[in-house]
Amino acid sequence: MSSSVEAITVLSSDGDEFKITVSAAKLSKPLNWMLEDVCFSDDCDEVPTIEVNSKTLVKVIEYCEKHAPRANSGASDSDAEELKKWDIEFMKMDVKDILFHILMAANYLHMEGLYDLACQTAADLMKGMTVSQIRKIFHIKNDFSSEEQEQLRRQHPGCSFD
Amino acid sequence: MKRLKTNDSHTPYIPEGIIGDIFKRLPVKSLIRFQSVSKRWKNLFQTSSFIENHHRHSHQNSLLLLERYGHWNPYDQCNPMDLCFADRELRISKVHNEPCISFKGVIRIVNSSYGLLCVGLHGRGYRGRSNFLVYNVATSEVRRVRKPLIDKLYPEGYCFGFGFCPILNDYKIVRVRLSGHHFYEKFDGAEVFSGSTGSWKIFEDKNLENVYLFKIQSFSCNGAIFWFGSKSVVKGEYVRLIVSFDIAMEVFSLIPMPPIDYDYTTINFTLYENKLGVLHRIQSPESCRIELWVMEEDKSAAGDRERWSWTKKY
Repeated sequence: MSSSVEAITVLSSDGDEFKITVSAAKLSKPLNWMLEDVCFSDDCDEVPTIEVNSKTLVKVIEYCEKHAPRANSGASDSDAEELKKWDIEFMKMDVKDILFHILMAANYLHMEGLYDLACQTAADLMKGMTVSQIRKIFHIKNDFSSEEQEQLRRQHPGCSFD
Repeated sequence: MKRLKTNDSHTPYIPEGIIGDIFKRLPVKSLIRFQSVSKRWKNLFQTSSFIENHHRHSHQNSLLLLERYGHWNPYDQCNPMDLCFADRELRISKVHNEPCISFKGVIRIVNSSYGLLCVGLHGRGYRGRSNFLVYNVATSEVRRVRKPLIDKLYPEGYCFGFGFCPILNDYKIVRVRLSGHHFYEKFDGAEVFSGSTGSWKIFEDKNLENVYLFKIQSFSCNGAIFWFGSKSVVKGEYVRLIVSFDIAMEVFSLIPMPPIDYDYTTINFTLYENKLGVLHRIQSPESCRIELWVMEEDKSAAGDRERWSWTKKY
């Protein structure tokens, strides 16, 4: 049973193997269910696959390992303060390259803390962006006619829609 | 679950729910800008579920409270609206994009709900007519509401309510006609204005016969508007109660008051953990204390008596 092992091995969607401690894996509901269902002893040769690419999974596991002690035992205010600073450093990453992948992974792995953190980071980054930068990031085509755009401008004077 | 793309140089497809979770964290000003990204985004930002999420999220961070409002001075001139907001840390900020109103008469805030502010402009004297403005504080859009259907009394003969219902994505203004102009008067019919239809509707309710209302500010939460009132059961005997108006169903209900003693007391509505609460200040010559009562509503209960219950929190 899961209680006898301290770490489990999982596969990324690229097929790479990763180790994650049991207490860290418990931050994710689906991983937690997996721990309960699947036999994770040494003689068990089945390695579960997580549908997240290697680059993203490294980051997700890093987050889990950092947050696991606090999630399992509760922590003092100074720890919480330290963790917050760590989160800010951890989230210094490119939106397109990795942040969205982390966001999707956190959603898929039901990790509320990481999901909220990634959403907030994305929101903070986007606040300062122009409309065309946003379109580029999300691969969205502008489907407003020039008349419709003119109408938006009239409705909200002093607002930049470029 | 959709398999994530392994190619790192591409942004993964982000479902609309996640886009909503990101953008509910942005201020309205940014959302106005980003509605021009695409038609789909514009529609997304206008869905009632997004508006409610956004509102709920921004409320967690900073609670906007209405601090001060327009007044008129004895020289027959109305001062411009003077709006201030206080956030959770009680920092007060002045609203700069307030609507320019030049109006001779009484300006009164009806109520604010979900970032919308309803202002009543009441003409002076017997023949004074009432107008309403609905002002979206974040976008500074002002909407002038059509004149009510009935206009027979001076504004003191009415009490007002205003509330936004996120499920309907609509706001309503309730104008309750009272039988006189004192602080405490008998219910004499109501008119309801709906923001989406843009029209007033006359309302009669048998349920509200012999119900008296206090003309203090109404309160709005959870898709309903509340007033303090009372009902005369036997001649000369009154039972204190709360009159509520369900914005979606458009029904008035009478809710019993929490079991409190009214001598030397002041009562106010409040919101506690998303439930209606009543703050009750008891001031006696010896001491002053405050009680908080919170209402639980059991919609499945059959009789009115079982439907609402009060719990004392403090």
